[in-house]
Amino acid sequence: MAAVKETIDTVQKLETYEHGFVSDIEMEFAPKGLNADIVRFISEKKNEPEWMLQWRLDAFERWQSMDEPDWAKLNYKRVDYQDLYYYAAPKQKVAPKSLDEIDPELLRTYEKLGIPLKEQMVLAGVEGAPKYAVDAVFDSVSVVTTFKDELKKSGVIFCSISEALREYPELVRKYLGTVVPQSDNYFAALNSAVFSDGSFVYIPPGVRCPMELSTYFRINASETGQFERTLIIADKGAYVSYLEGCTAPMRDENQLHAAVVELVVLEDAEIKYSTVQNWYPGDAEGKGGIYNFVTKRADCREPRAKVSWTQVETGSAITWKYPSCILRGDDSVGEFYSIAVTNGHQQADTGTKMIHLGKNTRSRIISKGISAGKSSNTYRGLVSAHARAAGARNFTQCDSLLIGKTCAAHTVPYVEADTAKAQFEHEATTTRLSEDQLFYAMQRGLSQEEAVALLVNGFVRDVLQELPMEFAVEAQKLVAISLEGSVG
Amino acid sequence: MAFDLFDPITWPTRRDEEWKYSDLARHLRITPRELEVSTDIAAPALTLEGFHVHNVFGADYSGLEAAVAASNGKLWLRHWARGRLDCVAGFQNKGRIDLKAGEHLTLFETYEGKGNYAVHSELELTLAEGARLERVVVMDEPETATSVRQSTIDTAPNAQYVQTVVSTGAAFQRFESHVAHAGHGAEVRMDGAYLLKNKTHFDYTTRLDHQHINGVTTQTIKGLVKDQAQVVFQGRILVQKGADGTDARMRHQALILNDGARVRAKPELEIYADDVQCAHGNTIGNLDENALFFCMSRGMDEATARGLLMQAFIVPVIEAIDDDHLRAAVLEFVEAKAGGFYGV
Repeated sequence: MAAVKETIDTVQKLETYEHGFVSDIEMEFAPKGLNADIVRFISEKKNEPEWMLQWRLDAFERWQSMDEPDWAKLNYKRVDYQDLYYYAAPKQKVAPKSLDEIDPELLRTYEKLGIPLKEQMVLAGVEGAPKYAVDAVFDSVSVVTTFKDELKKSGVIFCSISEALREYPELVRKYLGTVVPQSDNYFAALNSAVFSDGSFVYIPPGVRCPMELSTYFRINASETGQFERTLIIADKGAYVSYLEGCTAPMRDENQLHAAVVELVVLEDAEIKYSTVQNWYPGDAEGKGGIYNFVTKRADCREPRAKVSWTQVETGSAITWKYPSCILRGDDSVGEFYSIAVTNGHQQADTGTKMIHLGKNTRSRIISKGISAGKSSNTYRGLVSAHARAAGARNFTQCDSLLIGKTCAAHTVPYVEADTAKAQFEHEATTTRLSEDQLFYAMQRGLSQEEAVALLVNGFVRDVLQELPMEFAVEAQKLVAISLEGSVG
Repeated sequence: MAFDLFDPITWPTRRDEEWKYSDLARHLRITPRELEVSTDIAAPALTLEGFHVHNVFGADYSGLEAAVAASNGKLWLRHWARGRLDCVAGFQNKGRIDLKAGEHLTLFETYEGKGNYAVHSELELTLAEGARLERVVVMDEPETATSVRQSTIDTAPNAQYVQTVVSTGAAFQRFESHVAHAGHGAEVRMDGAYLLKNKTHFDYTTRLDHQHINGVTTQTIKGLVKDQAQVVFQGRILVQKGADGTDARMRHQALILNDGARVRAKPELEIYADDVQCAHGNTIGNLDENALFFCMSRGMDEATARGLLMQAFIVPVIEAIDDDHLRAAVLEFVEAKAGGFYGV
């Protein structure tokens, strides 16, 4: 019961969204609005090579000819793309050489969020705790990346994408946009044109990354959009576990976050990508919150590549996100584990795509949706097998849990098979929190809130188990906090 | 009518989410010609006694009310269409059957025809309180036909609606049912079985709208596809706000017998009430090699073993038909159709 007790303590401690504060930091903005000049401005700010600017302008041109998608079960006020700042960065006179030169207010922000930016601070007080490297992205720029030198010793490149564009342009050029092309979809095209930062990871052949890598995204400035781009390449036989986290201040305006994540997995390599998404979800009346429109895709290019997506989605007013796997290499494996919690007026339309192209490719989808309050939670997924994908195998399980009379849960799976040698299984259930189980737990002395936390954690256990340990504990608390006040 | 067969602008395309996998505009291309219907009907593909027969030529449902009245609870609607050589003959119309409180009807519908034709028909069925309608549909159309059959079913408390659709496909065939589920003890069952070969296309689309409390729904759809045939199954169960106590289950299972055949499935749940039990399952695969091995190790040759397994897969859907005569007739029909099917 210790875990339950802890969860309840946390819930009681945190009456509202914990990360909703604003940091007062001197910022530099690009002019409001979006046009080719803004794209040039961003590219110039980052000292990018000419080909990169062309690539951005090409994306911008395509974006202008596209329409915002409306097929998702989402209902929101459209974004005015001309009324946003596309670039906002903490002001710096010279590039900081060490943490001491960074604005102390910025460091305090991360301290408050519990993100260790000083390497010696890593999980303070826990002796022998595993290290993890952090890339911290603040509005439009990456402020610091820790453990870079230690990682370099094993040949691992972990830095911000702007830095990668300067230091390893040939590597970026070879892979950027090969998984999510510029014109892939409306938000991906927008991101390609104006992305300002994000993380870049390259794991050389045969290397098992010596520590967990993570990126922490923070939106701070108002009226800005955050457009980050992450590119991870696991070369032959490499392994990396990567985690991203995100928070934003509480504001009554809607802020846009349109990210693109590309994973390239080569022969025998494996990427484990975990997300704990906790953007500000808006207030109880549905005012404010982040619009989270994200394109995430992994390409298993060569035989026996493996990708595992794990996501815990508790934040954002609107979530539009489908982390996908293209299983091109024979015997490659894709996994998707998801917990999506919606409360208040949140709306989530999320799921995955498993595209089986190679022989004997396998995929597994475990999705757990929980909706409470007046929220709406949709699982939308595609499993497809190409005619060449003999021996393809998929298992999908999506369960939805409803708490309360005013929420909604939807399951929209698409299954397409073009070969006789594929085997696909899909099952889905929708139920409410069992009265019997609640009664049983309460009769054993738990309060209603404790009982709900216990049952919900049981419901999402299959997915929590897939997260790295420290984050699983965090995620468990987060799920409980997100559902606070949903019963009774 | 959802669209007008004689007006190409209204034809649904794959850009319409509901027609994503069945692009009517792309299939039809040329507008069918509205013609006088030929009443030159062939002998039925199956024999059935004890049913009042009423012919529906093209989509002409005139005299339907009188036929229901004369049927004594057992009505056989024989849909018949005949194409022409010089053009696509088009037929389009609506029919309606109203069942009064407590009334029972077993409705057997066959869809047959010859040549190159396009039919768009729509049946409106209403069930008053406590009425029971068992609807068995056999779609035995030529591989040249274009056939879109839509129906709306309106139920009342304690009504029972049972639907079993058996199809062998056509060039383009879609059977679509929209059920307004009244709950309060009403029960709906919508099953289906298909055996598709050559270049046929069959789309089975069901929409279930649970509007009130305590509604029960079960769905079992099973089928086989081979050659270059394509099957589409789209099932949606919608549970409206306040429709608590709903218990809805949907299952779709497809066997693909050779590469080149295709399955598209989209089983959906859309839930706005919390005290519900809803589930769907969907499987796509080939015959179980272990079961095949078991049969063959007991001395069966491969063709017999495959035949047996396929039969065992599909027959349970037909066996759920309540009317004894009808069940026997449909079983016989499926067995005859399956005869040439099992030899892959």
